[in-house]
Amino acid sequence: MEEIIIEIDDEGAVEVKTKGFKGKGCLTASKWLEEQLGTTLETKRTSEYYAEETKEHVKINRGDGN
Amino acid sequence: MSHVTTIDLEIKDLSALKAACERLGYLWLEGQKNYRWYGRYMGNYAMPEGMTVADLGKCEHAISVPGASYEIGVVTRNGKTTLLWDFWSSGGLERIVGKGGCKLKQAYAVEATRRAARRAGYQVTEKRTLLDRFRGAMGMKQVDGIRLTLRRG
Repeated sequence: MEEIIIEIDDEGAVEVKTKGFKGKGCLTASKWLEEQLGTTLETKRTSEYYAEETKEHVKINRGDGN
Repeated sequence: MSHVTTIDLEIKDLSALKAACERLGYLWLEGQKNYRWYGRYMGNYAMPEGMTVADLGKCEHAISVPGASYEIGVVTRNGKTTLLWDFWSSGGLERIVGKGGCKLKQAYAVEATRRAARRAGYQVTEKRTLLDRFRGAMGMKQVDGIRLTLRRG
């Protein structure tokens, strides 16, 4: 399931995370919210992001859609 | 989790700020043009960005915090909203609103997210939880926080 998760700590610091999005789609999925809340200071890609990216490359290289 | 973005929070939605005040039991004073403070700039702290000494004490709306004798001023310039307030201990604000206004910032972030999410067609669930955060010399620490989860409705 696709989710956008926002965590706000006791100092009012905000982190936005995404879960379940395919490949680079996760970066754009939460962009609208990040713009509503303020200015982006830093974006870190996690291992899940790179795993999805690798799967996409494999699909493209095989070219058979499987 | 596929990516994590850290946001420098800005107040862009006054209705969310009003809702944040309501959430915390603070009183939104619509159209009040002055806020209570010490009344004289002592020069021992930097002015908020874009503000001069002449701006202190003036605002477009104010926030009254029960238990504090000073108030918070809400000022919007060139589309950017700033909260002006005197954190000197005798005014009582920092004791209640937290260092840097952190409790109001947290409540604003929750309300702003809820509003933006609803407009974009998401359902929101809210949960108080412990979050892992880096706290300088103390290293990683579990701190109180709020987690909002957005799913397509």
